[in-house]
Amino acid sequence: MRNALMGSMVLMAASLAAWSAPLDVQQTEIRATIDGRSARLPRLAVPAFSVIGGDAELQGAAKTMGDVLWKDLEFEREFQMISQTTAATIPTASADALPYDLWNQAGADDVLVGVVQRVDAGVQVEIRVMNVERKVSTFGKRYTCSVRSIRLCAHTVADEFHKERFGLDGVARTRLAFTSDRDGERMGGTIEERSIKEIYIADYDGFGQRRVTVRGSLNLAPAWAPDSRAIAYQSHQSGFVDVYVQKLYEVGLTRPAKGTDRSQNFLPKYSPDGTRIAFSNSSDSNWEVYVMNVDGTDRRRLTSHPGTDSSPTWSPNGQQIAFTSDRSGSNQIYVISADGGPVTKMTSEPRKADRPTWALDYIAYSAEVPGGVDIKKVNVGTRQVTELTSGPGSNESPTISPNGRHIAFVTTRWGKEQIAIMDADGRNVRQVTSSGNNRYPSWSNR
Amino acid sequence: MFMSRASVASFLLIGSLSLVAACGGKKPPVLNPTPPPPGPAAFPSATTTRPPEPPAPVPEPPPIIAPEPVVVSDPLASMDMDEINRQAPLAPVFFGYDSDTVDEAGQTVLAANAEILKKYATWAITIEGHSDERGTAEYNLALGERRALSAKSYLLSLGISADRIRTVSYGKEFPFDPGHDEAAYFTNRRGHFVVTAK
Repeated sequence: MRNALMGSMVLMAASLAAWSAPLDVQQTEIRATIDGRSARLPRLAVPAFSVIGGDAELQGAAKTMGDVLWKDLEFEREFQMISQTTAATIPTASADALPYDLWNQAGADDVLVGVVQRVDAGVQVEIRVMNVERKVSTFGKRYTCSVRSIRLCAHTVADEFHKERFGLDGVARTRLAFTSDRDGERMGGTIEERSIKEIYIADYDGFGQRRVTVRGSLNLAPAWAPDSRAIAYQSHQSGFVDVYVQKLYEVGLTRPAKGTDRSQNFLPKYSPDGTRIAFSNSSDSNWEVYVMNVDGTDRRRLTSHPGTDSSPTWSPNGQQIAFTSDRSGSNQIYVISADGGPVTKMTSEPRKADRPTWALDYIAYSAEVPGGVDIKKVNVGTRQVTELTSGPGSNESPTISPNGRHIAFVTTRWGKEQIAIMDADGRNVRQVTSSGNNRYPSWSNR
Repeated sequence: MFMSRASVASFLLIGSLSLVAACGGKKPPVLNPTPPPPGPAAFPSATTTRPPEPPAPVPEPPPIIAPEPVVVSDPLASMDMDEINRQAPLAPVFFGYDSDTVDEAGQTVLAANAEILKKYATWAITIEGHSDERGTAEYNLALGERRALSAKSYLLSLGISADRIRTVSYGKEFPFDPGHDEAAYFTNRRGHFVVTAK
């Protein structure tokens, strides 16, 4: 009873305040956060950054920094962002001389003020977050960045601010790996017109998409090493399918599963501690899940069932492995201890479930549905299943961000196959790729 | 029955080879001898005279030799590998939706392929497993692999040696028909034969 009274008093006070606010701010709006809380989110303004010193390059960098930071902060849905249009109506001022009454009218709870200037070591960025009601700084930090990596600078600010304010591990500095045929190069050794598919990486927001393999073949299913310094993937470059591990910042390409045309290896995934790789092996059409050290030693078979067991993925603590198996008649998701043992059935999809990926307390997977494929998630404890997509187009191959709040996936809703990201509740689908056909995304740990 | 362009081409090639074989081949030169001169006069009252000397034989005309057809007895044997694969002498085997079972039509195709493989005993092949676009990419990798192995198994049962056959799956990565209708799906669900050594 008391809570309801308090609640209605808060609502009344808020709605009175709403009279003076511009139209794009609903003061009483309670939003659902990604992790399921209903909350009145703090409203944050990130007005355009100021520049000390007038050169055009620095001004460009300042603009980029402000734009990227705004998007990074909006992405985690812990703030309700004041639009840049609204922010632009308020005169620029230093953090110590903010026009707080104007910001209050605009509906802001906090204002993030950024100032950029050149210093000997590069570009200095000073960030101060001012609380509008109390007129004090709640976050202040100085960064030394460079024009060339100004986006990384913005991403760093976003992650650190999220961490300090909410204890939240943001993903602004994480990256996506995926397969693309956008180069259109023809695969050799065949008379058919086939396009090679190589591994690409990009920032989580889609910026800077670049190729990291030059294998001239079909390279699929990249999986980031947890330290982001290597990528394991599956390739046809030897004429049969095998697992390859490629270092990104030094020369190094290995084939630890040592496949042959009689014993082929697919769909690798690194363990969370980066020491082992789970993968599928097919010998004489018998598909089983294996685990090995990254160097190929201590290779162990986890499953031993005549059905097809494939597509392994690790639990967040590295103690269990989820995988796809058709042992019950159709593909479903199962869980097994990383040391082997009995299996637990996680899904009962009417058609098929495939390609599990695991974060926090849920496993996301591809589910075959009438007309195509959609993405669902199953809570590991309650076994409750939630649909994350229901068209348009086909949606498959989910990969979850390290904080469990976002999922990258493949969708055909824009014509060709493209990588998209959505929040873990299925909202806010954003397109990441737009060139060629892109598949098999993997979200890096850092 | 559905036939790919490649198998129609190979049918035509085999057909035309047979035709040439039927009406070609060596024949003796054809001589056209002149007819014999008429005998003694037909009138009975004519005094017997010495029958006239038969005329000198007309010199033989040069023999007419039918041009020998230029038959290479085995065109496939002289082609390079890319040309062989363009001829597609080994027909693809098609599969039902979600299936890796070789059905009756498939068995016929594979039996014919086995005969060719026995004839060209040095050929090595790869069977590629393909699927249509329905279902997940990962599932179709496994399905393609099972299809390729299924076709290989059947060939082994017909006496082809296992070390001549490799298998690889391309799942739904390389459709033969990019369409989204049943005809496209059908043609993409296949075990596809590639000659890799000869």
